[in-house]
Parts: sequence; C-alpha cells; structure tokens
Amino acid sequence: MSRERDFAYATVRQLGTMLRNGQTTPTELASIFIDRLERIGTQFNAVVTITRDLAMREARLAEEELAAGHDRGPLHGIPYGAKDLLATSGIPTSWGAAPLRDQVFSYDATVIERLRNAGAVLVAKLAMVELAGGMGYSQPNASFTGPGINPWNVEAWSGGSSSGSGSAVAAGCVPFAIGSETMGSILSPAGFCGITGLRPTYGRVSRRGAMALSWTLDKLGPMCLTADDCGLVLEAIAGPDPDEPTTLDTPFHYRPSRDRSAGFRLGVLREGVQNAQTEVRSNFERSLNVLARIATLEEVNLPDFPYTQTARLIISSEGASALENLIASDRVKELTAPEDRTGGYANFSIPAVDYLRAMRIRRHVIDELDHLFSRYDAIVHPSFDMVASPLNVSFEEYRGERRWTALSAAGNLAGLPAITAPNGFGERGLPTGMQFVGRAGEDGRLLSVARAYQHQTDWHTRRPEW
Amino acid sequence: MKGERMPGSNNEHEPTLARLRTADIAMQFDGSLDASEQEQVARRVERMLDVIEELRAYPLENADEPAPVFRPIGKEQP
Repeated sequence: MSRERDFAYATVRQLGTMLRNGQTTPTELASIFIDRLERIGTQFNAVVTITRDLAMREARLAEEELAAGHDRGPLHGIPYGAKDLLATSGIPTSWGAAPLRDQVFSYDATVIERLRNAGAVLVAKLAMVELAGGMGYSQPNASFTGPGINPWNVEAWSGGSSSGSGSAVAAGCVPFAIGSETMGSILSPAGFCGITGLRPTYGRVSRRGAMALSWTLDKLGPMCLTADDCGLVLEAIAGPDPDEPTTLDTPFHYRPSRDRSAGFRLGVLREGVQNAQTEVRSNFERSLNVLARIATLEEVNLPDFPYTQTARLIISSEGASALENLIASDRVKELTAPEDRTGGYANFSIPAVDYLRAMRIRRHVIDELDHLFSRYDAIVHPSFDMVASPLNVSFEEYRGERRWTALSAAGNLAGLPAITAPNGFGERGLPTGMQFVGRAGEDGRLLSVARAYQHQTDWHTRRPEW
Repeated sequence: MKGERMPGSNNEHEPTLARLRTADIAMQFDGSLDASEQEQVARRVERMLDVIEELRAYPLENADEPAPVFRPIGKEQP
C-alpha cells in the first residue's frame, strides 16, 4: 500500500525521475493508476471510461522506447486522464451527457495526439458536468455519472465542470488530467479539490476535437499537483495547430531553470474579500505575507465593466448555436439535471444585436485589462470566496446573499491565463485556494510566480487519506 | 421591461415580452415544450432579459467594433 501511495501522490516530475532511475516502469504505473481509478476514482464519480487496453499498449510502448534510449521527455510513460469532452478515436466521448454516452468519434483531439507524441499514457476519460455546464445547471447533480465528489470531504462537491479531472488528481488516481474552461471550469474543481490548475491564455492550446460550448471563450488546460507539473504538461499540449484557427502562432517553451524565483511585482485584488468565508480571508492574508518575501505587492481594482453579464450573454448565445442540434433533437430531455432539460431553450431568445453589443463591450474589457495587467507579473486573489458546497444544496442556496468579484468573468472574457494553487483549509476540512491571473500570452511568467509561491509553502504537498 | 406588458397596454392578460419570446421559441422547436416546460423557459428568458437590459446601459459609439475582429484570412501571410 505504501509503495502504491508513493507513486499515487508523486508529481509528474518525480515520477519521471523514478521511471528513469529504475524505481518503476510505465506498465507498473499504468496498472497502479488504473487500479486506483477503479477502486477509488469511482467512489468520487470521477470516471466515465477506463481505457485499460489502450493504456497498457501505450505503457508497453513507452517502456520499450525508454529502455532503448528513446526518451520523449518529461511525460514519457506518465499516466493521465482526459475530461470526457475530448475526442478519442474508438472510445466513447460522452460530454458528460446521458443522451450522448455512446457517442464515438473516429479521430483523436489534438491534445490527445500531442500527449501521445509526448509518450503520456491515457488511462481514463474523466467525468464532467453535462455539456460542460452549458445548459445552466444549478446544483451538483448534473452528470450521468452522478455529482462530482470531493476527496477531502465526501459530502462536498468537487467543483465543475471538469469535476472528474479535479477529484481524480486530488485523490491520486492520475498524476495529471486535462480539463477545459469556458468560465471557471478548470479553476473551480482545481481550487475546490486542493490541486493546481492552469487555465492557459485563449488560443494557447488547440481545441480541435473538444466539445465546443463557446468558441470565443473555450480553453483547455492541465490540472496537476504542482505549478511545475502544469508547465511540463502545457509545453506538451500548447502550440499552433493548422486545423484550429484560433491557436496562437507562437509555441510555448517551459524553461523553469531560467526563471526568476523572486523580485516579482504583484497586484492584490481585495475587492469582495471582506465577504469571503473567515478561513478564506485569513488564508489569503497569510498567502500575501508569504508572497511579500518574493514580490512587491500593490493593491489594485478591476476597471468597472459588466463582466459577468457580458460573459453570460456571450456563452449563452454561442452555446445555443454550438448545441443547437442536440436541443433541436429533443434529447436534452434525457439530461440528468432537471433544470438542464429546458435550460438551453431560453438562449434562443437572445437577439443578434445584443450578442454583438456584448462583443463590443468585450473589446473595451480586453484593452483595459491589458493595460492593467501589463504593470504586473500577476494579480492575486482568493480562488473562491467559499469552499466547495455541500452535495445536496443548490448553488444559489449555498451562496445566499454573498457577492463575489467578477475576476473569473473578466479573465475569461479577455482570454487571460490564470492558475489556482492551494493555500490552506477552511470549513468542513475543505481546501481553499489562491489564484494568480496574468497578462495574455504570459503563461510562462504566471507559472514562475505560482512555482515561486509553492517553493515557499507546502499546501500543494497535502494529500487526502485515499 | 421583461415582466411588463407591451407599451400602451392596460390589459393584464397581455403577454409579457418574456412570454412572447418563449412562445417564439416554442414555435421554433415545434411541439418540444409542454406548458410546464414553457413556464420554466419563460423564467429563464426573464433573467436573460435582465442581463440584456444591463448591457444596453453600457454606452457604445459607432466606432466600437466587436471582439474578435473579422479577418478575411486565417493567419497573417509572411
């Protein structure tokens, strides 16, 4: 058991070292993580499909290549899980939705291809909120695999929509996972499950083969135990894709040895923090004290825009179009959450002129935020004002009158990269997080800041009991 | 606006804008929505109309183009 646990909670970088010094093999790692997915991951409703045959084939190949001295880099022989909205040839890709549980594509998403080229081993398709939350779910039970359960407290939600990716990494069922974010779907499960999740700059990672919810907002990114691991994974999946016109032209190179570990300039966004849960507030203040050792801190405010309303209108409009076929087929009535069965229809009431108004406001948002973020290496803020909600409570009931900042909507509207890192624990023994948001295109700098923070703290080394 | 009757109307049975839009959606998805489902859709349409109203309060000029900008080719040519 302790040997299993040593591997289960090792970072990608540590596993790479263990593989290369003969402590383990790709096939042993694949077997261990598949076993944990079956035995533990299923308890958290984190798993849709375990890709055992494919995984063992890829692991054997990695083993042969490494033995022959053909080293594909830091992900070679490392198991991982993919959110079940990424197309995988011949393996079901359900988008978390009961009516699509038998959907099979004949090709692999670009991210899956790139991870295979990097030698990573796909062990599972991971659970998610149905249709990435595009039908407006309002409580945790919104997937045909059941509500995502939090490894730190089984009566709490894992966050969503990348729910399985969050809980599987947190419970040591995969060393890393790929999630997607339109507005909060990487940062929420990563923050609530106490892991490190990176939302890259819009366009950094190709979305070819990923379920579309909102073409101008969807991003794919890594969910890992550390910021360093996020950098390793991002390097493997990032870069231009001729089949995906929104990808940035520039490749991403992760070079941690060349990075600063101090001397950062950080903006501190305190707006809304006074309304956060007590432990969220105190953990945030403690984190700021840590950051003061490696950075100068300056208080900032977000420019005044209707961020949340703008993002909501864009997601609703684009989502109505992206999912129109499913809604028109009437199969939305088979979705798990009752509110999702009719949630998509209302979005067809949005006039084109109002969608364009939102996109015109968005242009101002992008310009103003670029001006603000150009002055800092990152802006820091609690990842969320509350820890994960109980499983049986609606989000509205849990939130009550509490108001929170619009940083998530702002950052997503402007395509800014963000990373959440654990920074303590709060109510019901659940993790709290600190988010770092950077200027568009500055994913590397953002990773430097988060990595420097994790060098000063050990919250990212805490593990649940599984 | 969303929950109000049409301008100039004093008829309390006159449909609201949210209900008119819901009726339009129900026609578009021919027979997909029963009365109770239309009720749920109408409530969501009302909330969407609130969002739209807030965005309409934001001042824009003729020169304010949307993001992203239309490009006639996928990538800049060298």
